[in-house]
Amino acid sequence: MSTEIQSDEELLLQFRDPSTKERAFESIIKKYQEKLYWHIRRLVINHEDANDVLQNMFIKVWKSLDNFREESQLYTWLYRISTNESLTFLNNQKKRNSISLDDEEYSPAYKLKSDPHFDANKLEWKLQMAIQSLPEKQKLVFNLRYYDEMPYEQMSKVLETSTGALKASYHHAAKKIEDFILNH
Amino acid sequence: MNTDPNILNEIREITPLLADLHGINVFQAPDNYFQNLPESILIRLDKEKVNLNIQEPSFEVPNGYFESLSLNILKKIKEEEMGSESDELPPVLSGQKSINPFFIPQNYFETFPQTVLDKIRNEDKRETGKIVSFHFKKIYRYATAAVIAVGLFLTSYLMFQNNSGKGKSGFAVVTRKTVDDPGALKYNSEKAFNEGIASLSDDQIIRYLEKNGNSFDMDALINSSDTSGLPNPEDYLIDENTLNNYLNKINYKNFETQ
Repeated sequence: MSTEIQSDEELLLQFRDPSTKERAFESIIKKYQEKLYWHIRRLVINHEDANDVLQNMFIKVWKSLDNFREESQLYTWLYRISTNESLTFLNNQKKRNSISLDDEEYSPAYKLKSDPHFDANKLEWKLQMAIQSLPEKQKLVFNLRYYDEMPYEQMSKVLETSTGALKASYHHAAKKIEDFILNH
Repeated sequence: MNTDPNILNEIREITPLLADLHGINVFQAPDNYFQNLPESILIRLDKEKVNLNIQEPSFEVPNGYFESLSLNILKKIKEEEMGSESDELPPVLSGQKSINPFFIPQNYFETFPQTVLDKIRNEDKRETGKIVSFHFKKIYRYATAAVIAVGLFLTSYLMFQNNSGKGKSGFAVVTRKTVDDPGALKYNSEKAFNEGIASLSDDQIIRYLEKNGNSFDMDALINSSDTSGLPNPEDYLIDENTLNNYLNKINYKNFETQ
């Protein structure tokens, strides 16, 4: 049976069976790894950081998947964990910066500029710089909608915010990004 | 990447600039990263000794586990409490915790219990005569209460004795002497008195005694009682059974039935 066509319900059933637990978990990773990786990568920017956060996140999923309640979708649950793990990682990094007074090295703009493919003249990189200038919540909303194409209803469960507020937030974020690109 | 037309239209309405950039990913992941990721995570899980192979629990516990469980938990709580208190201290202070700057005489604690015991014995010898006085206040209170109770009891007894011997006049004399209330004069016979007493509830009697316990009535009863037959008050201080013995001696049960 191909993992691509397996539903979350099937995977969860297999995960609860000790004989198929590991195989089911591997399938869950394969099913969601790319979406989650890019979601995390856009937040933490570095591949190494994204890889750390993603691996830690899946280890937490392994430990807590037995207690997962199926009234929420596995997809939104995984997104919520990856979002929280990314924000925790960034906050910890910020705390370490404030102690070392080395703000520049860990700032999102510095990380973007450190990317070997960074080109300040290209619009797509300006877009990334603009996204990093957004407040945290607007950044999350913009990324989930613009890149992950997540329906507002699902986003509402991931970010625990009303769909109306999310729509407004997305609109403001897009306008701010436009301003940033046009003025830089 | 298949773009959702609704999402594309939505961003186009807000800003066409971003609609044109939609779908462009500036970031790159290393080659074969996603192919290797599941295995990397499973290897890490294994290294971190997360239980990959779920086995049936054996439902066995070490011998004596439950007998010592509560003690072990309490011990651990105590250790953690002590540890957390130590953690709360600044490092400079927590490091100094075990250093005691004060000196004590040699063998102080070895000889301390004997020193205390010797002191207690010496005190006992000196204070033997005062042991009674140690309890004097308490005994005095009992003795006083007992004297009053016996006084009341004997007075009542004598009144009844007199009445039974002299007839109705005894009652009239007592009530005229001690009670100003003219209404009390209606109890001029033993029968009327008994009926009057019987008509009172326990609560009424208690309230009366509480209200008049130190009044003229009580003094008059005590003063008119014959205390010559009472045991020596000093005896109460030595032996609390003295009063009981005395009551038994005068056979007070008989008074109750009279």
